[in-house]
Amino acid sequence: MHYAAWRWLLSCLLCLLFWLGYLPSGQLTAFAQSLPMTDETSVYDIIPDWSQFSFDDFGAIGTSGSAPSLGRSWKAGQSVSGVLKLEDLAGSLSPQDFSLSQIGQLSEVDLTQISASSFPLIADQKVSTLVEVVPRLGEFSLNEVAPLKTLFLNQGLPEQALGTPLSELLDQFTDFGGSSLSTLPKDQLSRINIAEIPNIDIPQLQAFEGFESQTIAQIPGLSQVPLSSFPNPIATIGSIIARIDVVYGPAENNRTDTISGSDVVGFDASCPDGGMLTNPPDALVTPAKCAYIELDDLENQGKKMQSSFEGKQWISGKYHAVRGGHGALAATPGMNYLPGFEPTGRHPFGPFFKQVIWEPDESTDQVSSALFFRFCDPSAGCTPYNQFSVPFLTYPVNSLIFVGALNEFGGAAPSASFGSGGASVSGGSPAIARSNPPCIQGVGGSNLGEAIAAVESQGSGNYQAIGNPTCDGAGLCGVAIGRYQTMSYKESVQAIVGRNPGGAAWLDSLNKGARPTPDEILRYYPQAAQEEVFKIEIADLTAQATAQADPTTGQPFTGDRLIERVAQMWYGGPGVPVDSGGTDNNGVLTVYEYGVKARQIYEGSSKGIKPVNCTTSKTTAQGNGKASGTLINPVSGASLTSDFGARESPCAGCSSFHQGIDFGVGDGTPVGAADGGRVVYTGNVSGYGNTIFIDHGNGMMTQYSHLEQFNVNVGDSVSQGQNIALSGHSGLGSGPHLHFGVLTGTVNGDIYSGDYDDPEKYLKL
Amino acid sequence: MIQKNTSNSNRKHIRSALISAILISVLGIGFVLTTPLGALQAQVLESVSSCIPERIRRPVAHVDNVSNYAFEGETYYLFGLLEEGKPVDSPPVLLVVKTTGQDCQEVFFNPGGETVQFAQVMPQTVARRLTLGLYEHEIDKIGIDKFKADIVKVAGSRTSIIWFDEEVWALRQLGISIPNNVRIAPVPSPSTP
Repeated sequence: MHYAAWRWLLSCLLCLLFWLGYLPSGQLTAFAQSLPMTDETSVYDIIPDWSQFSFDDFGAIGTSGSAPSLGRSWKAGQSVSGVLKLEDLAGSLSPQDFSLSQIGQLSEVDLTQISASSFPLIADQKVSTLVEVVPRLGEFSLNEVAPLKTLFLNQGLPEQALGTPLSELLDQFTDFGGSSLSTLPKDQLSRINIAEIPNIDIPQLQAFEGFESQTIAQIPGLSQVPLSSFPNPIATIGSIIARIDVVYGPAENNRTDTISGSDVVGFDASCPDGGMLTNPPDALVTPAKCAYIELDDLENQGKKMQSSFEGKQWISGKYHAVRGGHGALAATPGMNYLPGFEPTGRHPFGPFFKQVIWEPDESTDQVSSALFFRFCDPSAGCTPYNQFSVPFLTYPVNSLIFVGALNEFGGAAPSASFGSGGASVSGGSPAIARSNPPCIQGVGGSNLGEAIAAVESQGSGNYQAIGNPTCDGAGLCGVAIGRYQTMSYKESVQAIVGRNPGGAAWLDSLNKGARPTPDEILRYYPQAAQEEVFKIEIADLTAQATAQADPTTGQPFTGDRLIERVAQMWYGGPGVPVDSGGTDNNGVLTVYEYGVKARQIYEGSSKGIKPVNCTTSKTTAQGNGKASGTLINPVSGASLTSDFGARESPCAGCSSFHQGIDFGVGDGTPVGAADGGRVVYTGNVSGYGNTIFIDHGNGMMTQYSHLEQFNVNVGDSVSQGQNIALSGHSGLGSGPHLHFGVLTGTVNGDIYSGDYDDPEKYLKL
Repeated sequence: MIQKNTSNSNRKHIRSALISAILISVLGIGFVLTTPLGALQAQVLESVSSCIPERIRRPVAHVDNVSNYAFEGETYYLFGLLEEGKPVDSPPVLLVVKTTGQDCQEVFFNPGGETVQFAQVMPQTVARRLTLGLYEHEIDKIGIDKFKADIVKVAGSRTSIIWFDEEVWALRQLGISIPNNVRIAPVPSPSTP
């Protein structure tokens, strides 16, 4: 180590000259100091509070650059919101799903104060488009829509028509329908408030033409919206906090036990063989190898489950590059990386950006980090995360760091893909109503308590159990304590523990990072208190769950599914997406699996009140073959990189027609069945590579292509979400991804019957 | 290609139909039947035909030889395939087959309509030439004015649009100006480390 440190220090004198202008450490420190944190005095200082963090809070871009193939350029010091466009975020934060009304509520921007001149998206819309996408606008006359009246009169059109409903008016004055407010003189445009257009705040942004090319900054208020409030928010569910044990400089080599990589090569890319060194031994600049941080498990007393990243290595992306990007844009060059390459790293907060360990400094025992961004195009895929970066946090040795779940998404918790909070799926899904007899109502608290206790403490029944430190999506942090692993920051815990002398102070210390002892738990949070808290929480969650719609049925949760849902909410919090694939702090059980396990134990302990004939939409090991009629994302959490439909090529008559949608996933990512059914084909399909077809028995069939490995055989019955394959890059394609197709009108499992349809009609992404 | 059991007679029937379609498309009936060169070409096309799928999802009803290009001892054939039941003016499924002597090999077949450049699986020179041939073929069918009008329409549908290098190159060879909002996708380089 000492040898390595000195060697690195010497070489860094030269290395620093090269990199200093690129990502100065001063920027990192400055940014870290300005970052909203969960608690200024706790060990959770390193965890950003995403509910207080918006695009405006990102640091400035460090270096000027451009991506000529995308027509993008940026300058050092420019804001992230001024560079990223809505299309870049469509597969991650999904800002296109916002309406102006929602943005207004989340950012406190007053729509009545926004002029058309400062809102190019609206100013550039054709009148005919506005009438088409804005609800009921066609019923208004020009006299009632001042901005359009101004435009109409500006074109010298007759005042007699001002009382005519817009929908009729457009038939008479077609040129007017093709005009836009942006054609008005600037002084007039600046005097127009967009709020004067009735219902303009209702449509989603994606309803407006050209929305995808708007930058975040061009949508008033959007840069102020907290990242935790976006339609597909930055999620912290399932995030794992690890401790930074040691930092190693770039003299190290041959590291194979890593948790860093990309969504193309996976998040266990060895260094250097899993990618390439940025300064290899024959480089003209100072050669450098595999700098990294070594992680350590946190203590995990009272539970049998253990995290599995003891000794794991997170390699520095400054020194190690890996393949990245999807589709035609995968070969896009960027920053100091070769075309098709990006810094190795992880996605602990989702696919929106990539967190990269930057400079592990052995001399100061600190490591800096950076966030790297990419560009996307709906018809051409996404660049690698190599386009530009902003400095992120600097961590000292022994501090905690979010690494996210050890999954194929690099730590990202699979997002609220199917509607959050139990909302039913929309979008034309042919949901099949279940015809099962009514199930039991309500949840037996004591039996469910036994079930949850059994899952949480793995059967130990330990009232002194101590879990991992965890933060929820709202930035509340604490530690799981007791038989039911209740989070120390919960209000009910605060209320009941606070009744004991010293209890409130004890909880406060836990929520700032202190580790409790078993004796302290018995003293401040005894068995009776734990049971009382549990009853309160379960009653509350049951009430919430019964008010939600089960997306697999479109009906309220009942019976088995109610039990599963309550357990899911206990596990992931009340807002956790239904059947989420997000994992717990140990990456062992997904939210969905937790619900199933709790339900199974509940059934075993319920004896006489075991639910009968209730829907059990999914089981694990053996498929039930039952179709719910609603499709789920086969690779939950993965971003969509290519839409269904004709490509916008120069030759319309010879353009290819994309018969499905693509998900950007690396080789070896588990693929789940989008719905229950029967496997009718596994094999190679020319062009598609290794492919599976599943017949769902309702005239619908789903297709999964470019696979690496089959985990099912023809004739197998599968359940919704059941693992059927591993993704890959077989067949014709532009790298690893999953091609997902939906066939409707199929007959008797014949894969040649039926026609392809847009999968997005049947699942919400 | 998805394999499905078909009788030998059906296979022969389909194969014969495919070969006939190719011959008609490439050479013309009289030429094939009356010249020794025609017999030679028929032998070449016999080997190409074994690389042409009999069905995509439905049986292939029409095979159009769109363009050919010889490069470094290999000949690349670009075909447009149309399934049974599809309107004649439907976009074809593109297939590129290359021959070396009497052997053929499928180079590009895109029934799923993936966004993949020719240049990803063949030399850029070939990719450009086949694309040029594809556009010339389309212009023969619809006329240069309609072709140009379609370009303006597609490019105008978005504020920024990404086309492939081979597409932009082919348009330039045809003397067609490239709209200002067109961006060129990076050319994939399999040799990139």
